[in-house]
Amino acid sequence: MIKVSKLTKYYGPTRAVEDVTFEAEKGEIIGLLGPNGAGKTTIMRMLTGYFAPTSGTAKVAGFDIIEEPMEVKKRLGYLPEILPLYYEMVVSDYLEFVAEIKGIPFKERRAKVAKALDLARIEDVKHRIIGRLSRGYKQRVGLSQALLSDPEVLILDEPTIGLDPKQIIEIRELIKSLGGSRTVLLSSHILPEVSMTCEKIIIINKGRVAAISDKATIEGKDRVLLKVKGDPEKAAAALSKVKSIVSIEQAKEGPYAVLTLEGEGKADIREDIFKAVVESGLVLVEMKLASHSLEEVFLKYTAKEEDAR
Amino acid sequence: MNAIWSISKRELRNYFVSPIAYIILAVFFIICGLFGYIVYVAKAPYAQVIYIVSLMTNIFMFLSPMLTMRLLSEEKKQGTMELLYTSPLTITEIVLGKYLGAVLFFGVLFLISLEFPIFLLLYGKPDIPVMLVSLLGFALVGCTLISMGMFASSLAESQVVSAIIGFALVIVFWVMEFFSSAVSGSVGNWLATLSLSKHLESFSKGVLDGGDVFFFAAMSFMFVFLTIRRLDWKRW
Repeated sequence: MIKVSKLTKYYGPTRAVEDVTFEAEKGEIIGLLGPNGAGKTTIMRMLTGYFAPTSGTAKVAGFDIIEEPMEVKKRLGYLPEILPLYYEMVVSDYLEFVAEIKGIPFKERRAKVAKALDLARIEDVKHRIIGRLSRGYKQRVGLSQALLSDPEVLILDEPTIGLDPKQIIEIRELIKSLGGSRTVLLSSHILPEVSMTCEKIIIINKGRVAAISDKATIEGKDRVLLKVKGDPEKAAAALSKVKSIVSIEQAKEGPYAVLTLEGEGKADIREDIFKAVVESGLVLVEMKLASHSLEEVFLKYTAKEEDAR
Repeated sequence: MNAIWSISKRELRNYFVSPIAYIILAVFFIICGLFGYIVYVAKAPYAQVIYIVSLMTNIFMFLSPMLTMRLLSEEKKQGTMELLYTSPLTITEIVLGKYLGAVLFFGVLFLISLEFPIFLLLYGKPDIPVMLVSLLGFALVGCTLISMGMFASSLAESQVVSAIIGFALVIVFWVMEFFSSAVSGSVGNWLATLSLSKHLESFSKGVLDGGDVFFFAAMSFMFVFLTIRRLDWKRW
């Protein structure tokens, strides 16, 4: 559905995006992950035809973005990071206007607008002026605009930015429900955001693809954070006997010892840890799974890249 | 074609939901009315069509940058340009839609401004052909001023900056004859032919000159074209 090959964009002499290549199958939800300024928006803007790449090209829904931009745009829904809303317009009029410029035939317009209102759950504010809506509602109006033409490919730039936790969950569910029939490309600078909705993650750093991988690999192995009463050295010694534990890091926090433990492969090591703690007579205060943060994932992949050079 | 109409419809409506339309209309008619009354009625009780129309033209010249400043600047600033650019529209369609929207607003102003010649008709015996030709001149120069303003609006993201650039453009072209006198030779002559006020002269005399009609059409076309080129170039 999306096939990007060697996409490059320079703003004057500054490199924004270089040599970006990736593919997305029909029905896939793909996440572009990277810090602010990594080039995510630039990639999306090239795919949507907002501006042309300096070199390289891409195919969206089977059409080349340079050769046949109109065909691409007809099959595409795009939610830019800066919401493209006319603040003085009423929600339903705005969607009506978008339907017109998207070339949706008059007869289908009403039904499509109703469907988009329903999908983004903004039915109750359709007669209100966009500028007076809350940030969350504005975001949903933006999303409904992208969904309006029932596109094969959806490109969403930071779709959950500025929303409250409840709205974030709603939008996530909505995006997940869109996958399957549509191809969704979304961007974020927050790892859990991407890992919760996407099957495949593309890490972008300084305009380049640092890694393309499935969710599990990028998130890496879960670690176990353990808090026990007593001396860290003693606790570490007790746990080092457990065979399934590969690495132990220790720290002291007041009267407690805090250990970070990593197991081998996908195995859940919590049971072994529990048993070892009980056997050695230590007092267990806390035990939890901790996933890697974006910073760690990032360092891991960008360090790899540096090594390769 | 449908897309152009959609954009201009929205544009026209946008004028009337913001205070700008009412302010421009109010300012235009208050100034025209006051000036017209004092200069042509109270002081010298002889009202001539050409004076009234040239008054309207001059006042519209000052107001036009305010009418056009938001055309493209606002879209850029609000981020809605991203919606237009990523919809199946060509830049030509976007620009023509915008231009037509502003011209339609000018059309509304023009229709209301017909009250002045109508009053002349009611209370006097104006020369009707002269009246019609001078009104045509007003309509043509209005369309040209709007195209200049739109081009100015494509240059800046800030509406104030657009208005200032638009104003500068309008003034330079209005009194091009004066500027050209500083340049000797054929260049000076060529510059003088670009003067808006010079091409309006024949209209205000009631002389319909095909060359002058062509001039305004060509100027409008040129600035619409420059706007398209400007936006196109920015994308690459």
